[in-house]
Amino acid sequence: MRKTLLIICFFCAQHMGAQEVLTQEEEQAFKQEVIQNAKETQTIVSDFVQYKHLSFLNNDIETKGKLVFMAPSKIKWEYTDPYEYSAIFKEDKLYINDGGNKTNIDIGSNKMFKSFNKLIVNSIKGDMFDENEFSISYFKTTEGYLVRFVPKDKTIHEYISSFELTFIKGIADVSEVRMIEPSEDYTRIVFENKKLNTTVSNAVFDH
Amino acid sequence: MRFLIISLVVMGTVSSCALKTTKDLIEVTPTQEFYVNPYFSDSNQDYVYKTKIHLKDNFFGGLLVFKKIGSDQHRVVFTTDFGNKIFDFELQGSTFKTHFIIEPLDRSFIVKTLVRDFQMLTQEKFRIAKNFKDTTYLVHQSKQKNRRNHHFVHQETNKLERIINTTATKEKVIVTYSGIDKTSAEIIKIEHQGLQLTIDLFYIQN
Repeated sequence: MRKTLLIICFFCAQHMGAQEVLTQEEEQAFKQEVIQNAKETQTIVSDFVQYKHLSFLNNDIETKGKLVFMAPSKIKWEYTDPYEYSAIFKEDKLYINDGGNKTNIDIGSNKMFKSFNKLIVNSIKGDMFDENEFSISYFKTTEGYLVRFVPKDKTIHEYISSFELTFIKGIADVSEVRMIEPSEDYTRIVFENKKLNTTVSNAVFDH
Repeated sequence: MRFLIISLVVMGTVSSCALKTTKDLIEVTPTQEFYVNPYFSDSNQDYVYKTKIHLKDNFFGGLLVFKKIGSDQHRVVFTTDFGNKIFDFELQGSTFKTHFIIEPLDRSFIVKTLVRDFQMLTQEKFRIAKNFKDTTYLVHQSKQKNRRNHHFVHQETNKLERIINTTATKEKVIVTYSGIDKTSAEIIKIEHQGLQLTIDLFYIQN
């Protein structure tokens, strides 16, 4: 029994060790780099893979697609596999095309949607460092950095208990977003082939 | 003449009350005590469906997930395409537990309707009250609280192709299965007769 406990403690220590807390100086330098990078980012084009983790499933639900972002706040999420679905956020509206079924949602009139849209934009760019909205903690990992944002807004907290953004070392750019629910189920979005500041046509955001 | 009029009125009343579902079928003596619904019955399988919901003029999309987690016990979760959970129910027999539901949907009528649909889809064992048949189908009628379920099983393939949920006189919900495998159907359509509510499910390999 004692041996088992020792083994468990060892593995816990290993796991915690993989996430070392940043010093204040490191935190400031990292933050500055990300904010600067977010300011310079005019467009993002990236493939993504989304994993929905539900504790009772054998496998995470995997969906794939393409993301296009244009500053200040136009976003298109286009799912292509295993089905076609697109969501365009522009000018306080959300335009959905669900395999031919088109709908519009007025985000401006919906506080919840407005908060989520802001979170989506900021999480793609990485710039979510608003201490009024989140309790933020910074960690160094073997691959780079992990920043955990815990929403202070009670309504958001009922849906998402924390956001985790992963940054690869040397690139002040988000490589992975994880949205963790109070139940500990989560959605993980991994960006691949991410290209910054390439030319993007406005027509991409046509509905 | 008076007798004829009374007879016609009585006949008219009886036939208008007769259940459409079994009206043209012949009642036969049941040969088994239970009917076992094969779908959603494999606990090793994740059943994930792209889902399209039409309610009157409104449309909602997302993913509906079914998982058998125990004997006669299922978890049913609906998420948006972005992965945000809309509701999360655990069903066991005729009882259920809500793990999560977004506030706008947390109304007893909505929860009751959804849970009844999911119980109809996931419940495995139905005690047969009556059997009916025509040239194509053998129909197992069973009771579910104050409703009745009618499982339409194709006589040649032995596959469950339809469930019609009724009151004593009216059809309430029609479930149609297509692209049928042993324990799953690729396409499931749920049509609520009085509510202008249709739910279409398309199986996604997971």
